[in-house]
Amino acid sequence: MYFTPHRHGFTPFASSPPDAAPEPVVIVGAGPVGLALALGLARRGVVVTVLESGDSVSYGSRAICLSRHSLEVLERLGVGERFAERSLPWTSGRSFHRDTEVLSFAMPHEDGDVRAPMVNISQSEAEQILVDEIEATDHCTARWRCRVLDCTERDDHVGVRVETPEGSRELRARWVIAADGARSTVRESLVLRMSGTSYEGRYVIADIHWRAPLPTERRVWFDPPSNPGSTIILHRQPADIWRVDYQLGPDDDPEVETTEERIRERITRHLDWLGNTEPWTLEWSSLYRAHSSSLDSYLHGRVLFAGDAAHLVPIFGVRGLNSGLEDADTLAWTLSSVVHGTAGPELLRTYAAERRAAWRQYVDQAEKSTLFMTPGTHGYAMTRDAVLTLANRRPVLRELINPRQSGATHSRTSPLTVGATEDEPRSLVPGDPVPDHAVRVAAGGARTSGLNAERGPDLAVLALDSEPEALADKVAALRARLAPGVGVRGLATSREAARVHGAALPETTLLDDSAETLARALDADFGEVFVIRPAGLLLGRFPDLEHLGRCDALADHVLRGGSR
Amino acid sequence: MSTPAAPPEHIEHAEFAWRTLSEALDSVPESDREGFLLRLALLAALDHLDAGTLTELVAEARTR
Ligand SMILES: Cc1cc2nc3c(=O)[nH]c(=O)nc-3n(C[C@H](O)[C@H](O)[C@H](O)COP(=O)(O)OP(=O)(O)OC[C@H]3O[C@@H](n4cnc5c(N)ncnc54)[C@H](O)[C@@H]3O)c2cc1C
Repeated sequence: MYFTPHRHGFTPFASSPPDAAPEPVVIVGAGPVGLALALGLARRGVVVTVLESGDSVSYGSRAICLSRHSLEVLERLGVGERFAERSLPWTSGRSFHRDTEVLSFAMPHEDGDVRAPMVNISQSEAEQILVDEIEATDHCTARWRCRVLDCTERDDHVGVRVETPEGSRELRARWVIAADGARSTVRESLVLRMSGTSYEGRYVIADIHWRAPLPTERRVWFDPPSNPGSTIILHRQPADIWRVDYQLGPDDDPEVETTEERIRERITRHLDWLGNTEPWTLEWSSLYRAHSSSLDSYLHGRVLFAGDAAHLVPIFGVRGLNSGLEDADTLAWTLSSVVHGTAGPELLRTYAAERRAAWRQYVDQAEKSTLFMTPGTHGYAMTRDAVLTLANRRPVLRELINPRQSGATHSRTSPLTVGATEDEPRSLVPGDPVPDHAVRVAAGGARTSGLNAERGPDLAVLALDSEPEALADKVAALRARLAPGVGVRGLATSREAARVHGAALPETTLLDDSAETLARALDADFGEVFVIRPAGLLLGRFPDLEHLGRCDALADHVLRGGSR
Repeated sequence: MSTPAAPPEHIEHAEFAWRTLSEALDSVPESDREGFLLRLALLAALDHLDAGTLTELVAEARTR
């Protein structure tokens, strides 16, 4: 078996006593989104219970491509190294029409980038890393074999009915997070519906074990001689596992096409055509159809939605889990502020609105990839073939073949975002995800690190070449208002070698930017100050520390979810 | 061939052409698809192409 999930037993527990205070947070679903959120909350001191109907992490091929941004989220959760060890980085891809190459793309990858734009790792492995971390983390309990039956909103809490191997239980929670996936029971029990589009066209998805000499890149064949009329996608995963996705024709019978014999036959034809001489084994297979749909809101009373329970995006461009991890990242700091009482519940409206808008951004991109990968109508099928035929003669058409691999979403129009104060267009505007970048930490013996690692899970005030002492005062003032829901860190860069080797300051990390690489990467002026939200979005950029204004006002702005 | 990115406005135009033509083709009756495409090509030729360019494009479009 190519992945052997660890089975978790049921740990008995009692219903919440009616006279005791409700639990702060119950998360329904130990999928990757629920697990990441649980870690993000526990790291901020929030006591959290995860209820999972199964007894193990998921088995079989689902998300395999994680974006650079997702890896940043995972690094801030403390599992970055384990993901780096167990995943395969990649940057490029090729597409072929019949036997002719029509596209070769490379995702942006520049000097100073801390990690590759994309890595491949099986979702089962990814979930197992998160489960292992949860088991070693305080404040956080995962309860297996606990199926949530329904949720009922009461005055100051939500009642959660759970079916366990020892009978039913009722938990009372101040906040419930529905991270129970595409067929969310919580969503159903609140009688909520997602709306959107289901695309025509079905894909068979198979994982095979194959010692292939091919590089780690995305390869796609449209109408290949091995399987005329089909589209085949090939991705390498760790441990010689390859993911093969291929499209069925409108007349193919899915029942016949998902038999092992038929899948082997199709894949053999393709691998033979590639000149393969290595043996291979079929490990797992399934059938997939693309959907784009979402709830209208991700906040309903005391119930919040995240991941597939809130929204679905087609797999082409790999946005499902990547968007779910963004949800978890944003929800962790906003909900933690509410649970700790530093923020009011209105901050959660900002979570809901921002993440709904992010789904829209994902869908705009995913829709184009999907219409190209699985054209559902005669018109789209004809134009797709025309584009593929002409792509080598009209290079602009290659852009339509490009899979538009998932990147991070922005929150430029969020009320939390402090708008740009200057007219000059910048490459990094408020609301954008701040890219990770290699940095040199000056104090405590110089060492190489990354901006993301130095920011950690906190709100960061990054001051370029300004007075570290003044920055430290601002950081202390912000921390006094935002902690413990949100931590605050100061990062000061300096161009002067003498200064960076000076004494360490208690509230700030000093970064040696004598080569000015960080300033260039951020498209920043010296003296400028960047306030970076815990989930990595740029809250605002200010000409200098003074323009940051009163820390109380800035803290209020954050805790209220922005100016409305 | 590594693909240099085309200017954004060219990409937008290519996307617009792809989607507009796909949807237009889907909106005409099946029996009129060829007629529709020919009328469209004729209009484009009359309004935007000289004889030389039209001849070249006809030759190019023959290659599948
Ligand atoms: C074929 C395929 C390929 C994909 N490829 C990619 C990719 O390459 N990149 C990418 O980013 N995304 C990809 N995705 C999407 C990705 O798998 C999902 O977006 C991701 O799993 C969502 O995570 P989640 O935690 O929200 O939900 P899920 O992973 O579905 O987890 C939900 C959890 O809730 C549990 N649960 C359900 N109901 C209950 C209940 N009543 N009580 C208790 N527990 C319950 C389930 O057992 C499960 O463990 C792919 C999806 C598919 C199907």
